[in-house]
Amino acid sequence: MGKKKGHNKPQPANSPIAPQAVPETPEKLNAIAEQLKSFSPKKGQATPPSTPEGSNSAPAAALPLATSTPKAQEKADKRPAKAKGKPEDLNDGDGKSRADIENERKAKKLEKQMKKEAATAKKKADAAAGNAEKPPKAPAKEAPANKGQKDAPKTPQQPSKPALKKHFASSDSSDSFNMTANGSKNVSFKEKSNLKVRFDIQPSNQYDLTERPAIRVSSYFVHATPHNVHPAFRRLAAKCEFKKLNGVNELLLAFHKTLIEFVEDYNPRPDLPFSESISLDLQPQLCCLSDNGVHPFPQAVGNLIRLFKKQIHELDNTKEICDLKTYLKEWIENSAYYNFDLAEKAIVEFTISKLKSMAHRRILTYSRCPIVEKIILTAAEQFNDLHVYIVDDPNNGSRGKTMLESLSEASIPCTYGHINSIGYLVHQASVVLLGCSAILNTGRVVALRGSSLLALSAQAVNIPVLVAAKTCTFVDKVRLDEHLSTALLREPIETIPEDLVTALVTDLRIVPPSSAPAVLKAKQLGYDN
Amino acid sequence: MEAIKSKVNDAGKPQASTVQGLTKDLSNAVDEMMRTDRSSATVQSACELFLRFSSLISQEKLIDANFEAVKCEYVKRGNVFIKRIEKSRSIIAKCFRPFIRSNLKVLTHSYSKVVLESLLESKAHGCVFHVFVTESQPDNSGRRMAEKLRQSGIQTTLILDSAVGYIMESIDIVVFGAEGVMETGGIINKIGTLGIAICAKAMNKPVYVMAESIKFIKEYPLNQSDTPNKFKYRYSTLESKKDALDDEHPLTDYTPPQYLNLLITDLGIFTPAAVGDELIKLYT
Repeated sequence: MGKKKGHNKPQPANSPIAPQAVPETPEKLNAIAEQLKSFSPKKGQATPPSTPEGSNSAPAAALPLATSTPKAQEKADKRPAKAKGKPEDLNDGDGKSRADIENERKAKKLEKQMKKEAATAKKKADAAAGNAEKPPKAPAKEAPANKGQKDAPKTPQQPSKPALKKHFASSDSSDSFNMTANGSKNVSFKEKSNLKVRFDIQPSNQYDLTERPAIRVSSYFVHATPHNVHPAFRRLAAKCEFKKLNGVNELLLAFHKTLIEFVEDYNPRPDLPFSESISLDLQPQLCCLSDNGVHPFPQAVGNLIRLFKKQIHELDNTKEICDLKTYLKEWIENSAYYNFDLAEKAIVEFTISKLKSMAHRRILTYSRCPIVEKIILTAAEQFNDLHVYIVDDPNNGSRGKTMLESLSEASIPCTYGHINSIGYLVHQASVVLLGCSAILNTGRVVALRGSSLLALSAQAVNIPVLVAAKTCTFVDKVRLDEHLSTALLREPIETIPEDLVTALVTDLRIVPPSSAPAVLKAKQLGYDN
Repeated sequence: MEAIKSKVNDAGKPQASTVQGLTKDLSNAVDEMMRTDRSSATVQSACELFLRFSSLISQEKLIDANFEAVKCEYVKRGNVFIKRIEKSRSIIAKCFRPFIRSNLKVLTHSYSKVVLESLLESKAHGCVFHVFVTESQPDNSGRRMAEKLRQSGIQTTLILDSAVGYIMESIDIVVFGAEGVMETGGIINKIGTLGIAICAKAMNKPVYVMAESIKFIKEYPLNQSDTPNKFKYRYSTLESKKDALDDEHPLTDYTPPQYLNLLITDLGIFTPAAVGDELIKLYT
């Protein structure tokens, strides 16, 4: 049947087959920029005129232009023409394309109104991203967009990023395109014109990681220029783009290091007290990472940022600057230590105490979670009869293979299967061990997409489901907008309902999912001290 | 109860001369009690909580040079503890009264003093209801329960353990005691409880558990095999047949929280999910 996702192929395809590949090299960006006049939806959508200010332009393909919409209109003139204070790791090619595209942007900005363009772009992008080969669809959606909408683009849409990419890639031609489209297709789609059309998000079937949903207009943002963004943050963003950092754990560790670098190099403004000045200058860094609030941070990272800001706030400004900096750095290091070294040790201990009482230790796990890996490696030293079943998603990075390698090196008998074989594997296992990226207030577990299948199957065959959760990943949210991808991590995630999870193994103690608020309270108090 | 009382007497004996010595003595006494055949989850948890409670003396009193005074404190707190748990059953009985209406059919399992007291109290307040008690082999403790209930004039029927499925459709509520309440919100109770709870859930009958707070245990079992053996078997069995426990019949089973509706304790009426938090509060 489907050619989709290369299921029938011997090797799983890592990228979607649909013609939506985003060129990620600067050369291609330039090429596309030059093709703007001969605008076509197929090519146009592929162009990300790189940088929203301050972010790496090379991987900028994936960094959404979505933010550029309000940005472009409001602050394009303030934008420095060239990237002067560029970090050393950006090459020349980036600067060229950046300049090119900034010029285009300025040109476009003068022509269009903000709202209509964003709306138009959204509709167009939706159409274009949906089927690049069907131009008529785009104008059809433009027609209602152009007519009915007056609000600022608030409705989150899935392919808005390619939309906006296209939007900026196509300078004047897009406008004319709109007009013709309007003129020609007006009649047939008139009935839609007065409707406020809202495109609900469909989770992408193709795992196209360059498709960024949501334009969320944030009312406050700081213009992040190459000047005021520390290179460490840009390096972090680059690493995430290039998939060097997989998963929340690695991201958090890297984020800690980034923060330390930032604090170390930071020179406070002379006119403000230290804490105010550092929090002011923290803003553009975070904006750069999250594109001005369009993409929320992954939950655990958000926690860290909030606590860091709180620490800054509580700084005693009368002390010496170097003292304060040392204090902050120490705090970050401590937090890294508690939340990583110690927490992981505790979780490993608790899980092993549970594994001890089991007769047959057959663990079923999904993809790769570093904590689960540690648990299994430590358990293998104590128990002889361990057998691990690794379920993996071939379309989503096949990270399970890495886990398979490291476990095999430790001579642990393993079985590896794709998610299709979950029905068979779950009957062989006696316990399911999952990792997570966050725990919500209600006890729902935020984990990689596919984990809930394991939890569901486990419930069906009545085996316990343990989730290894660090307390720093507990968030005070009740619901995630599951379809929106987050600022730095691109992996698709989902939530596991709390009644499918038997226990959360945290570094405080083993906890039923319903006790998540108690953990939240305990940890917040802990930080308050 | 008696276990606790004996512990308090122990504390009164002038054997130790330091706080640490005293604590050690108390722990030894606890271990002694654990080693008897009458030890059960209840006794274990009660002893643990007693130890914690009595050790919670304020700092100033501890620093008091006069050790006799400290020991008096211990004894005093021990007595406070005992008084509290003596009252706990009546508190539970009071909490349970709104659940009993007239002409209700109640199913219960084995012999539980807490359930007995609650039912007697409801009868004393004029409710007319019909109780079905399971025989609860191997020790036939259900028979004792039925006797006591009949003595106070409650209409009682003794049923076979295997007849629970048959009778469940005509039952209105199911009430259990508990030997231990776990951190998950599940309970440890006489063997057979799990089967009745599953049957009740399948037929949508509410299941209420009555347990005093001293029965809260700081364990997190994932399933039956994960429950510690010290709760399932008597001490003598564990000692003699350490390696061949597969042939032994366990005395208790673990009922997971999804089969329970409410837990009625002297600290209040909780859902199973909330028990974990209460437990932590108790133990800190």
